[in-house]
Amino acid sequence: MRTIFTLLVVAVYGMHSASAQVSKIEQKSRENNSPPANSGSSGSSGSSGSSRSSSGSSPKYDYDSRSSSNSGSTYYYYEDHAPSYNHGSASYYGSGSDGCTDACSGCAGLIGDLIDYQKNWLRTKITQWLHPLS
Amino acid sequence: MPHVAYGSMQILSYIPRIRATYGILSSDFRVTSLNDMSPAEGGTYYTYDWQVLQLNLLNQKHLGFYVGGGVMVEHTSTTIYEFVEISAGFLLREFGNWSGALEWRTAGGDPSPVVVRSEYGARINYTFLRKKPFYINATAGTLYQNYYESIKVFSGVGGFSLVLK
Repeated sequence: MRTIFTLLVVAVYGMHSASAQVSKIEQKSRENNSPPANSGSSGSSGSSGSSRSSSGSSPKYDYDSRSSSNSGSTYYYYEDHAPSYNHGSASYYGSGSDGCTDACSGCAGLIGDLIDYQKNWLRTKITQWLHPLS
Repeated sequence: MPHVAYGSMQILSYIPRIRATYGILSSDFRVTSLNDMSPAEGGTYYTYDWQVLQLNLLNQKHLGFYVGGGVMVEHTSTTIYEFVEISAGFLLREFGNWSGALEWRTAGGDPSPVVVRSEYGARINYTFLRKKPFYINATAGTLYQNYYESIKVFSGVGGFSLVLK
């Protein structure tokens, strides 16, 4: 029986493009964090001062939890990518205060995107853990 | 409609990889470093893939097929996560100086709610130096990776391989 060792070193040059639609993680996050029907404007998007463009720095896992007096339930708002209930539309996603929005091409690189996705799924997981307790 | 639009960004990666085969058993380790060359924000994203055990279910002179399982470790500057990774591939061997491979692998599992990465690769090799037991090949191919079911990376691949057998 032969033993074969293969050492392969390749350079890879490519183009990165993220989905033009909301990511799967964000979809799942939204499913797990749908706002109450009568939440009105009592909530805060939690997006102030946050920007996905800062994602080259360390991801923050300090998810923002706020109580909704309307429903008596606890909701966990994302720092960014959060549906902004204040805008009266669940289809609007939070934007940073520095003018860099989710739709802003070039504000975040691949690494920032990846860390953002990590943040989102981790928060999704935290929310899943905490919901049964709330 | 939620809109999350990103521009295309240039990626430069290096993927060193070593594979050891003994009969129908193989083990495969590689490091992938994605280097974001976009001017807005650079950075490097590492994944370490160890296919602990691959079974060469088809092991003929000109054609091979394997399936395998192992782990993928995802490493950014601040986080490390481990996921399960499985792989499969066809190997084309010894067509004169030419050989090739079609490979697939995917990684995911708890705690990520989505597939962390799915990958399809194709490459051809040309053996330009034979001096038993050493074979040196030039390699070219393509690679498609989809991270978190959202970030798609289309790449061309070029490099060299050294085979000892």
